[in-house]
Amino acid sequence: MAGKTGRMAKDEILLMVGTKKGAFLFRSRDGRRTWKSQGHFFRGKEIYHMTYDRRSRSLFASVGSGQWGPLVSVSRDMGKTWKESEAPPKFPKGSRLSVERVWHIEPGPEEQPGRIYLGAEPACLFVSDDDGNSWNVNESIMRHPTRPKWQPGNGGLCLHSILPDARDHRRLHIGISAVGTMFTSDSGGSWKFQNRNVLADFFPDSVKYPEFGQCVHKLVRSPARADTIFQQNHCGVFRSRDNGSRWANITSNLPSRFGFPMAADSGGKPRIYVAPLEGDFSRIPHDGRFSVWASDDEGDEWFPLNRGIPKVSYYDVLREGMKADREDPGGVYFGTTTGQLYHSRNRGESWTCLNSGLPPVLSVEVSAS
Amino acid sequence: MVHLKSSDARGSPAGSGGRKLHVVLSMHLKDYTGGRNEIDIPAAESVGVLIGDLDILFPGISSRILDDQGGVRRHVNIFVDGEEIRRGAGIRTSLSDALEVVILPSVAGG
Repeated sequence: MAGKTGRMAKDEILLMVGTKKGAFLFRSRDGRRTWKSQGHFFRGKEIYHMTYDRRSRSLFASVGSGQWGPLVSVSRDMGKTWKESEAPPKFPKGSRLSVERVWHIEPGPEEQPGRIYLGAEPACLFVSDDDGNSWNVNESIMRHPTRPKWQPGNGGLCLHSILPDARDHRRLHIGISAVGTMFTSDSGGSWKFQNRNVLADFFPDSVKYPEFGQCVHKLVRSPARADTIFQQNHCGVFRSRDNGSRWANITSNLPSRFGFPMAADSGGKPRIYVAPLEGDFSRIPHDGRFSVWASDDEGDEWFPLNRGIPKVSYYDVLREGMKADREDPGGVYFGTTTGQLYHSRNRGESWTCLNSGLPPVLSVEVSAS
Repeated sequence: MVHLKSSDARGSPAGSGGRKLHVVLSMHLKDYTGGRNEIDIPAAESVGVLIGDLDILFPGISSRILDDQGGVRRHVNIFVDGEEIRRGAGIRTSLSDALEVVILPSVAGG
């Protein structure tokens, strides 16, 4: 049984599900037809993200332990045992900052084995160069001159998106709510904002397009065209085709501009996926039916994908709650705040409920062996 | 020498003859303490020093009790002989005459 093995098998797909009350793994060795569950890990704790690092064959989890603060835990044996970072992510003494939550974990590039990135709240990037055993704060973000003006979104001042660039390991994009997109081309030595043409109409009319202050909800890079980046934002869905320098609004025919997760599969022509909600005033799906919406032309036109999803489905999917795999045809996965886990083996054309009784899902991640 | 105690073994400090402090820890911290929630530990001069001593015994436990700046986490309460330390000198609270330190989370929920 895959669930009892300490290593991923060849051709295995691993689905990592973080919830408000612990974490679960779902593993498939037959082309995503059947899944074996494994867990429950971190009972009662909030898991904001999990990821699998294929370089070191390690699992990472961003754990919130309530009153006792956040931590990062690592498993080298596919969840059999977990070990906390010996030097956890911390702000230096005198900074007046303290890590409140840990969010997205992103393995670094192939040429930097051992490097892991971590997004935290209050917004900052932490870097590990020893496979997650110890963490160092990125000083340039921590001491960014605009930091005193940064405002938190409803989910806190969180760094939730980290996009490495396979073409150049010195380049990295990050997304912070509600600061916007930031970019470094010198391994984090300096950062600049990349929010041109991204709407922020919760500000007065005179500053609807500020240098920073945008409420980005999730950033995704196109697997096919590395210069193309998408973002689901509080104020719409946006696309950049020049690696973030300029953005265009691609909300187009979506039923609303508001949502949280965003994913892209890796077909020859990648399909991108969002999960629109009515708006920030209600945060429920349109007409009480949850639908993933997708686009095959990088957001010029969108269409709904809800075959297999109940007609009454007041689901909400959080920013880390929907991911696509790199298989052909692409698989898509989402977990809801009411504990349903859905997957599709055909790019969202039909959906199957993998589990309907999980705790509220905070994060979903998928990896191949 | 430190003596780990189960919850029904509270009382007589043993060992080297130095003054001992009785420390009660939330069961939420059992992953760090090997399941124990009470220990007798050589007396420390202050709460801050005590937490450092606890971290030597139970690596990582201080990060659960203290935030990055060394203050007690907002939703963690430390009682010295029944007095919550925020009402006194906080982490610098003296333990010179203390008998018992209790570390608990604040109440959360219904």
